[in-house]
Amino acid sequence: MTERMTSGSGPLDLVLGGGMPRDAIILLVGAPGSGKTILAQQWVFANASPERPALYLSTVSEPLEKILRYGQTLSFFDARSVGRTVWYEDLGVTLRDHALKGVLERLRDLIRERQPSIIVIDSFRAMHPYADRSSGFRRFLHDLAGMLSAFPVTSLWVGEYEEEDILRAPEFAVADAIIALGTVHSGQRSFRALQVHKVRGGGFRPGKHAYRLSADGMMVYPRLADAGDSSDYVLRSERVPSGIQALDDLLEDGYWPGASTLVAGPTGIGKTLMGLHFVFHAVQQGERALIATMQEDPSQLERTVSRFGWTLEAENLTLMYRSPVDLHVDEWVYELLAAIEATGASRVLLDSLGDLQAAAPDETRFREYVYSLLHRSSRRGTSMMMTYELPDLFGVSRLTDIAASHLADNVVLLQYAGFTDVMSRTLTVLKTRATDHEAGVREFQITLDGITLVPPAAE
Amino acid sequence: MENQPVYSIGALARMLDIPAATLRTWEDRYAIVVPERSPAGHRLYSRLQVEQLRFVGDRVSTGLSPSDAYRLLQLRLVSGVPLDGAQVPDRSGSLILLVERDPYAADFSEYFLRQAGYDVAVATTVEQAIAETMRNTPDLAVVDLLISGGRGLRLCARLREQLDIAVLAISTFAIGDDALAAGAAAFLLKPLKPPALISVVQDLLGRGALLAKSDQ
Repeated sequence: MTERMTSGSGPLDLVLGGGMPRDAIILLVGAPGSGKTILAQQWVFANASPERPALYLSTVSEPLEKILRYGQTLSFFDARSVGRTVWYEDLGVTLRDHALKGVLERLRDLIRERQPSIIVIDSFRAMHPYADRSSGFRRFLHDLAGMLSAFPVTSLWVGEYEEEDILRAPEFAVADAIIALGTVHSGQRSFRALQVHKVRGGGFRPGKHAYRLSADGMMVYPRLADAGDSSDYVLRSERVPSGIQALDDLLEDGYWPGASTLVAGPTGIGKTLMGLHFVFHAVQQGERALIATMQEDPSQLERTVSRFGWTLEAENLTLMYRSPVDLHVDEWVYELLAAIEATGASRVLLDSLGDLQAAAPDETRFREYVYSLLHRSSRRGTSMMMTYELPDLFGVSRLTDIAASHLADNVVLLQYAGFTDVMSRTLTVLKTRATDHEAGVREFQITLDGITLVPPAAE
Repeated sequence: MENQPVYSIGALARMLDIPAATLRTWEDRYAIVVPERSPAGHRLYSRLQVEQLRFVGDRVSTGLSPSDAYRLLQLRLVSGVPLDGAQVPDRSGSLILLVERDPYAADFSEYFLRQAGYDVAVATTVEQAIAETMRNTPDLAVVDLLISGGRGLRLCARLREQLDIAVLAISTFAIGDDALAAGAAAFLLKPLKPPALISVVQDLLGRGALLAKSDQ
């Protein structure tokens, strides 16, 4: 395992398996506008110190003046460090007048003079045309890699490379680590995504990880894909009322704290209401609870809950409302986990899972999100109730298609029944993990007292 | 520990002009400066421990008893007051034999050593190193242990035992223990940080270095 240094982003350090490898050559690649220069500067300012100065070298892709002008709009850019711990130099003129040989000599002089611990070359790819013949660039690479390996310096080579260049361009063979910035398309939407292709001498998190760019730099959301954790954790042993009379009547032994419940059903059947009962039961018990909704905005939701004598203003209740429009699923999941951690919520209503599914780039990722989310909430003893809208008003065609139906501890199906003047609502407990339940379809009603079972008609 | 220079007890004895037996006695008696032990049992002194022992040695040389000197050291360590800077005599002008197979590493090391005022002779093979030693008798040799296909350890032993040259061993591999066992006075992991290289060279060429040859 090589020694690591921070990338300037804690979550990116996680993806990299502990940070950027020290005394290594790292290639940072991506299309124009993908945030390469932002990340490079974030890394520089997070690490530069009088003992470990940084050298930022521009070539011929972007003028140094421009890098600095935009750089200073970033929150971490510390102009006072420039010329003290961070040294910006332009290699463009050297490259133009003396080609690659001149770059090597200039770099050697700068290393001697500044003794940097980190070096950025931005853009590295822009130096390709300055090789005098086909083998010239490989020779330059060999000399450059040799020089950088002989000095305790970590260098970041930034370039506008395509995915296929990773197999072709010789610098990728020289690199100790490769970080690619790109875009993932999902329908009409697109997301920024980062992928680590290689970290020599250490592990890293595979796959694509979403990221956002802002004035605070690059914010990475490591792909939430917890591997099965077999380590022991303590499940609470006492069972409690779910807070939903109809459900408690069907669960013979009561409700397990920390359990996850999927409530599936067609529109208007009462899924959200069931979830609200679940959450407000905890609130009334003095526990902390959280509603994570993409369905109703706070005003609409307040009107709904007030009909039942509740209020969103309750001190021990947290509301996390996000519009499903352009929902960034990775960001949302991390926000929810942080809110659960911060509030210590014992119960969470997630309304609805369908919105999250629509925002996920693909079905596999959606399964990973749900698995990881339920895994984490279960380990900390937080009960999760998730609503899921089924397209069929009557009958159910494909409940098994919903990833959460396999992963949730309990699955409750709400359906419309009857073709008479008044449609009735029915509730079926399809699955309960580690407990017994009453099988069969039971009619329920929604009253101001909540959701209650209708007693079976006398034979 | 592997990222920092490590010094042998013999090198310390020469650098500080304190017999190795005395250093061992102080270690047992006062248990304040206790070096790490390598798997083979060699004492591996850190740069900080060199400073601590230099602090004690300086006070003993002015007439303080070792127990009082250690008490003073203990007080400094507890209070966090930094120890006095190393009083290393100016040995610029000394000849350093740099035995390095990597031309880029040789280029940097030679540059920084010359910047610090040393004369430098570079050898890229074991044979060149021996020839250069015979010709000019360097004050110190900096030896890359991977020289000539990995013959650096044998070169360390030969320089030390037969030619009486103090050796700073350097390597990309963390094999300081082997280097000290082969007779190197100190070990540094590559790539070399210029300040670390210069400070170890200064240490090894310190006031005891002149005495090292007359001791033998």
